[in-house]
Amino acid sequence: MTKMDAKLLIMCILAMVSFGLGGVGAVLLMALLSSLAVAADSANKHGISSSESSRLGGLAIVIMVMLYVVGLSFFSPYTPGVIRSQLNYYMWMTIVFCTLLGLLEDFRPDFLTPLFRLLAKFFGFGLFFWYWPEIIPVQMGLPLIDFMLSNELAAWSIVTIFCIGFINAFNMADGANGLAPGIAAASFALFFIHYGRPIEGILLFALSMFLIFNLISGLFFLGDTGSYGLGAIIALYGVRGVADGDFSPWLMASLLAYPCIDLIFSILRRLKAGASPFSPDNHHLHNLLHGYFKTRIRSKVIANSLTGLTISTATSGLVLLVYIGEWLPPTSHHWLYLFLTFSAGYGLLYWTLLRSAAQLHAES
Amino acid sequence: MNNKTAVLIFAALFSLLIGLYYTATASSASAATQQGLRVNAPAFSIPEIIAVGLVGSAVARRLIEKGKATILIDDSVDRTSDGDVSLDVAG
Repeated sequence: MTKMDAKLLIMCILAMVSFGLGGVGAVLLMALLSSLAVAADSANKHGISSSESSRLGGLAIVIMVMLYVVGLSFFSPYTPGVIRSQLNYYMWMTIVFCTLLGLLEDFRPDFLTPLFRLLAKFFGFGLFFWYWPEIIPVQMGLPLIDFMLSNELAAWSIVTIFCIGFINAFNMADGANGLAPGIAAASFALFFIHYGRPIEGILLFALSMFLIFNLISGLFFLGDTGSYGLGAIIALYGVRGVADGDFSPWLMASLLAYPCIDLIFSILRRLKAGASPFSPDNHHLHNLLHGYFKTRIRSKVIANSLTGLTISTATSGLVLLVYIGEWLPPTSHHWLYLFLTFSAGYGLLYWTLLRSAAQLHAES
Repeated sequence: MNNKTAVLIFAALFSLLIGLYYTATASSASAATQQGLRVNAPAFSIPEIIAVGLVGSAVARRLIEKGKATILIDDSVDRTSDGDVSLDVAG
């Protein structure tokens, strides 16, 4: 038995315990897709990963979601939301548009320039929010932002830029094993518990299986298909949930704290260093945390997975726990304190790890 | 295609379809409960723990509990009758 076979066996056991035979099927599907030569990344190309990996994780999730949605529509009286509501239809069209942009990038890297992809996403989201302004939140609980949201054009601009910024932040987190999928799994768990609709249940299932595969094998990433598609779903669900009064904006901010804080912090950090605010670098918190674990853990995959799992559990996982435990109502503005705690924690950990890395560098 | 790949493809499809079948029964049961209909047992029964696992069974329970707003029953089912009307789940 090879090392990969042993890992596959462990993944199948975990999938069987959590989601039964359906879960085992999902893990085997991912094992098949990860062995394909297409959309493969060389070592060191994808985030902090240092082994050859596949970017077809997003495609695996798309296949599983499609299979279950089509299957449930045929074999049960389930009617997908896109058929029941026009708003859902256009919302999912926007999501599909973003997913296709990512799919093209995964199969033909750099076929579309980053600027073109950014403009395309701006066009997609801009058009959606222009035709459906009722899903734009009107109140955040902060006087300055509320004043800006009272102006239709300003509100449209803010929410469009937020969604695109979030997708890019989410894409940036897809480098450490379990970071982006961990945040997404926690988000879909929260959405499913709250709404209880089949689509969120299917997404939770697909993400949980992907999380197991990603954490143990370290061979499979969401890719642009997954990060653009899932980023778009989470952003639109979040915005709509806040506009409908189901969630406090600060609950959503806390749930998605890591990608949001990391993006803002990275832009400020680059501006301070005189660099372009959008130029990619390896100075994110997850890079520093990975550097810390790498010096203490021999296994590359465990060091990588521990990095992603630590961050996603300490942020989105904690929010999910507070929500399930009903320690705070989902509409409470007290979630702001949790978000502020995460922001302070990010800064403190970043500073500590930076000092630790500098000390280690000086010693060597 | 080597033997290992063929076995993986077969196992993946088989397992996914079993999971899908069970989820469809949960979805149908939700619709039947919504209409106050008696739920007949599915054509072939798979133990829940094998079909959908621990988390999956919790998801299926939540689906039945909250599915009233999202799972619509077909008009062909006679809703005017009561206890005598039943719905076969999963199809």
